[in-house]
Amino acid sequence: MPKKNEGLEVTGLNKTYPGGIRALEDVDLTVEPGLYGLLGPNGAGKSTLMRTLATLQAPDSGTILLDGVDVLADPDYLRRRLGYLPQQIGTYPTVTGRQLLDRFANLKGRTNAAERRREVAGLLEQVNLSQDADRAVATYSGGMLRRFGIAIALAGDPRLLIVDEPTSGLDPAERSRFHRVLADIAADNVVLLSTHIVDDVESLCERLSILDQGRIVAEGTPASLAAELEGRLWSRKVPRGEPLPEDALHVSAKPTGSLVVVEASSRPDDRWEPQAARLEDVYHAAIAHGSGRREARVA
Amino acid sequence: MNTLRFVAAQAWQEFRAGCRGPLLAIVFPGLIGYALIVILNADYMREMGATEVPRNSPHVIYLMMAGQAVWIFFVWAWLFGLNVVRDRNASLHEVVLSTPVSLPALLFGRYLGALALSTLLPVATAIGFWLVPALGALGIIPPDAVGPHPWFAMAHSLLLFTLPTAAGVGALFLCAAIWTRSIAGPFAVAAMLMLVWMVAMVVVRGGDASPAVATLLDASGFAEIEEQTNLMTPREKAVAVIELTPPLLVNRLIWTLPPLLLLAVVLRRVNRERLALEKAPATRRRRSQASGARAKAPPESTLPPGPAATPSWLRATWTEAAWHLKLSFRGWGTPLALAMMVATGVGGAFVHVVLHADGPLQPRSGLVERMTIEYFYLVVVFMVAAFVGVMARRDDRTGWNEISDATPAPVGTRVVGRALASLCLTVAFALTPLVAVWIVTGLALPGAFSLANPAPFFALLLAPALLEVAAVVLLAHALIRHPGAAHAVSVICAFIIVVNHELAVTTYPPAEFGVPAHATVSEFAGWGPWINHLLTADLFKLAIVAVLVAVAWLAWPRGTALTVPMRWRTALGRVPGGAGVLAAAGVVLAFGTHVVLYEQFVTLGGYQSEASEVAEDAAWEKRWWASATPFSTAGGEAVIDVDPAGRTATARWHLDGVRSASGLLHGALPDGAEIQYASVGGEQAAVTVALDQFALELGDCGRTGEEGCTVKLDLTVRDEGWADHGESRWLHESGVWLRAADVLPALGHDPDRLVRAPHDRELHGLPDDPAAVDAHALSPAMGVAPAGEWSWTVRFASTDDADPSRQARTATAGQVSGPLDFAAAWWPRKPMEANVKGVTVYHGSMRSNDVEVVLNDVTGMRSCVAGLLGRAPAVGAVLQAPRELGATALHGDLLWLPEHEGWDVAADGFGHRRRRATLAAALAARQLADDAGLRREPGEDWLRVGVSGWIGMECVRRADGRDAWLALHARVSGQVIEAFGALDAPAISVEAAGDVPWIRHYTPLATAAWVESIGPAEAVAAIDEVIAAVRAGGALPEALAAAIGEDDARALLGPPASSDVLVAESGRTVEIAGQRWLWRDGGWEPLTVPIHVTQRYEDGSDERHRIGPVPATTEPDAPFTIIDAWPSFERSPSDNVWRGEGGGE
Repeated sequence: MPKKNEGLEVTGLNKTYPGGIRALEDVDLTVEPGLYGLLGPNGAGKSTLMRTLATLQAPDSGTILLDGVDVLADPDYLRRRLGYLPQQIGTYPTVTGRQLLDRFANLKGRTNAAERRREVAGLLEQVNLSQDADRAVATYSGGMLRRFGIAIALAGDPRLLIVDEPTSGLDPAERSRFHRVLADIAADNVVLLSTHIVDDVESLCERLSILDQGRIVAEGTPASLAAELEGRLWSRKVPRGEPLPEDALHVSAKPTGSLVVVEASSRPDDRWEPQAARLEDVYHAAIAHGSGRREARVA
Repeated sequence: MNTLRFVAAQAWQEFRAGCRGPLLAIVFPGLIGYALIVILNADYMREMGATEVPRNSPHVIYLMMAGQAVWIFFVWAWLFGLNVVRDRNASLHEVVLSTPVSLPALLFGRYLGALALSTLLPVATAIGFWLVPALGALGIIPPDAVGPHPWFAMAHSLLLFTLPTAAGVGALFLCAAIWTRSIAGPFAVAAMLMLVWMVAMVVVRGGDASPAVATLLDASGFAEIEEQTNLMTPREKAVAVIELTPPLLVNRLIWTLPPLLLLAVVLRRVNRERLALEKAPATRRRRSQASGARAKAPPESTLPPGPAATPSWLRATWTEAAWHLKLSFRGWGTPLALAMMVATGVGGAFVHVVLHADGPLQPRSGLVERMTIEYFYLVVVFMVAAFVGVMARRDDRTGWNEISDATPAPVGTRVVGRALASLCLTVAFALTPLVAVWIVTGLALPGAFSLANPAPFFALLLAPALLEVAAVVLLAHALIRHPGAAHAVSVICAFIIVVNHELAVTTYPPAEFGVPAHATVSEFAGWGPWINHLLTADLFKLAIVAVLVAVAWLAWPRGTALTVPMRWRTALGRVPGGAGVLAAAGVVLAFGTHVVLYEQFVTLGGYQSEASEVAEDAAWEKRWWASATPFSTAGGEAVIDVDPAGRTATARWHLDGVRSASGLLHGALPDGAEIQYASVGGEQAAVTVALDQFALELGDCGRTGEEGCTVKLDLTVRDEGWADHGESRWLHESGVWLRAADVLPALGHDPDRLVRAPHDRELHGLPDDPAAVDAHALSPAMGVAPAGEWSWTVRFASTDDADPSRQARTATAGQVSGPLDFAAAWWPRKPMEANVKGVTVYHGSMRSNDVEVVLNDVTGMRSCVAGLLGRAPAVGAVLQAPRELGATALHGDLLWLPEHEGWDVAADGFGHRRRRATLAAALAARQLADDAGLRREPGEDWLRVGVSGWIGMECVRRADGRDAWLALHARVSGQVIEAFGALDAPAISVEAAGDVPWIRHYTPLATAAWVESIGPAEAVAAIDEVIAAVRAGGALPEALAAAIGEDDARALLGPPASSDVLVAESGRTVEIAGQRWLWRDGGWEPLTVPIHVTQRYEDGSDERHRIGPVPATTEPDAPFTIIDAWPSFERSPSDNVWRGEGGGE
């Protein structure tokens, strides 16, 4: 049972970039220890939210509390407890993995050399890079680079881990290994996982939020969110050449046509079969509802 | 779209993309501003040889357009590198490379676009010069400094220099970018080009090794432009057109065609895979295996050590610094740069020091370090800019800056860590030339090898200056987020610093940002006179570094999507933290040390800017010149008490038989002197002192008394303060090097204080020409008082910490019959002494091997002078004086021989012969000046400098033969040409010139030509006649005219003249031809008069013939030399020689 004030609490977060682009709009989040997913399409504001939570940019308004401490007023409190892996990391020339990890462990406050060496060895082991620790980082594959990034993020034993699109570009084995690492960490800490890969969230996160155009459009556990759609989803295979229904929630390509899912309180017609709600459906429904709400507001 | 249109489209897109980038926005205004700085600074223009010519003179355009190539290479490297890197930076390279276009056409089109942009950039300089008429109209620069628009020079330099250079080096940059798939390749090529340029300019050209080789090596063409413009007269400069000489043509071809050919080959061979693939550096197998083994071993503990509870950010800062520093040495760049610097340093030291044009020189401590710093400085500054820039931008890769910013490490840890690493790397760069010095000294002069001696030069002089460069580069990268723009600004800063170093635009030492402190260390005085000065100056520089690092800390960006107001607020928020403390500490330290520096340089040391000096001289001329009045003295006694520890001296000067037509005795006070008491006839007398000149009321005894007046002057002299440009000090507890002029006022008026430049005279409201004054109102030409019977005594107080029994001094008393001049020295520890044939040599232990040669030179040259003049002054002692403390001269019977003129050259070679000439000239000058009782009167330079200079050269001819004489002649001739290319006042005549550089080189050559035409015996007889007349009170010009005729006297004392006579084989005869010029209105004007030459056979007979008018032919019967039978300087002596049949010239 989490203690009072434990975890990350975000209230009324707003951010508008110069030029008028509103990236975050009244974002509220409560993230307790464990793995928390943040889903959203490209451009939804996930990276802005991640960077804001990582103290890399300041919001226009709102509050961010970590374990009850206002981190906008005391960003160093959060930084001392933060592990951050941005969406992309490029190669770093000349230096080996061990050297670079050692450097970032130092910057994360592991200033005792012996402790740092021990931590670096442990982290490399944890992300399965011990064998490649003395290779130049510039020679790492994409998957190795992501694992190396998570090792850097884990340096300093962070309380809050923010990972932005961590599995994009990874092969299934790497992805699975990555999931295990995240799950281990989430046992005692707050892990915020931002992604647009629904499966990642579905298989890992206890709770999630869906962000669209800067707003939280859905929040809850995967099961509770799916439960809201129970009995309201219908699917059918539309043969190739036949027009797709305009109110489709989402459409998946199939060998002989498309699998179309719609949301309706009752079966549209006999061609439609009941569809068990999955997180992917929840995601699309939330985006669609969010969009609908915005259109209604505009109207 | 056909290929041609595709190439054109790509070129246009590349050009537009370049125009939209930040480089153009920074470089263009930067270049215009730089051009304006140059144009507005008269001293700068003077340094570029732009006196007596408009400031938008064509030669300045050529120099500027080509000269800026050194740093613009780096901008070009960026522009051409973007041809390859731009797509990759946007992660679009795979998209672009998969399109069905011709890859060579794509890259070539982009190359053309970058070339157009590269050619456009230097046009900014031209725009600056287009503003000159406006500056003239606004009265910002004098109207006579505005010339017609140098359209042709601009277009010509663009087509002849900028475009071919950009095409050639741009091709190299693009090839490097293709090979490395990054900007690093083009930057490495730019660094290499700059290194080659540095070798060409500093080692090959600076060392006078070979101007043609320098031209060939210099990709910019600047070396050739400088070579040509240095030889131009002001008039030629005003209409300068750089000639396409054979070396320049070859230069243009080799720096254009082979690179283009290389580009063609590379474009033909390049494939998509090469540009698309990620770079995969090879791993170090051995280390990897070893490390792998280590990695396989079970870790000490796989358990994370838990949260970092109480990090030590100070320790983290050191670790961060060590990490960056280690990484800098891990790649190939830094070690390669250091190795190249050592290799270049060794080569440069051999060419520039050991094989110096005035050498061979002996690479001893004190000489080799200074010269090494001089030729290394340029390249080290740019290297520091590049390497510190790379370090500052190390995290500028996708994601890494964000990861760094999200760590709890304070910004200070990252900035200060990086700054410390940058500063350590900079110190490594500063100390690298030390290795070159060790190698060169160890190889060339093992006896002088020392591990420790050279180190302070680099640690105390070079390193602090480079730290300033490093700090400003770090600041540029902190302020400017765009890496290309930051690199461009850094390189521009480095360029401005280098220009300031080369041209001394600012001369106030604390304002010489990034410029090494000045100190002249000599064997005897060592570091003693300099250590306080240098430590304070270095502390000041370190304080500035601290302030710059603190500002970088304040400005260092943390986070993303930052706006200027956000950064400003963040910076303000950091002020109360460590950055503010560091800045405050830096400011306090800078202020505190500057108070000391100002006190020492300005208040005590008398530092003035050049403009202030001219203004003070103008004030002096207005205040004192009209009151100049003839005076004389019968003699007297000077007693000097010197306190080395207190750096003070007191002088009691008793003068007898002082007469003055106006009843006033004038004199110029030495630096730091004050008159404490003055009496005339035993009664205290009024003294007026202003602008370092005094006037003493003599009363009637001076005007009408038969005996003249008896005058007593009591003075104190303090050699306080620090020399702003490293001049050696004469009074210090580490040694005293006293000459009469250091402690006694030079009586009379010194015409060298007159303002010479017409512009300066007009500016300060002086008449076009100063009024003529009686020659007997002027100071003595050598010494402090006119001819008389004088005695002098110098007493040295013991210093507290020096053992009296170990102290030593030269003779401390003497009698002088003639102008009063003497010198004495004191050492806290005994120097080496050698006594041969009654001459004592005082020298340091490092020079023991040179003593015999020096003594032989002194005695040999004295005999030669005696042989030529029939008399020579006595030399009782030879003194190894500190480096650059005065020139070689005989003071009383003490021969003052400073290290740089007498003790650096090897025992054989050109330098040795030049020292002989210098010694003979010094002895002759003393003899002639004493014989004539010479004052600083019109024409005295001819007798004191010209005749003695001729004697020096003639003595070399007699001692070492014709070829040695010819080599000496050629060297001096070259110096005359250079001096006329750098005039800072019009050269009207020898008689009116005063002590200016061209007089020192020209008059010996012109006198030599005159002596050749009439023969040495006749010449000496005429000189004696002149001396007798001057001693009897006559004016030198009239005496000379009476002795040698009006025409020859006018030729010797009038406007400078030049000749170029030559011999050439013509069938069975030898043809002699020649041309003459006269200097008029700032240029050499050809003369169409019949030319006669003097022919001198080299058969030992000393026989001379007069041949002419030329062209003429003569029989090739025996080797001979010809020289124009007219007082002038020969422009190219090497073709004046006939070496015998078949030998040619």
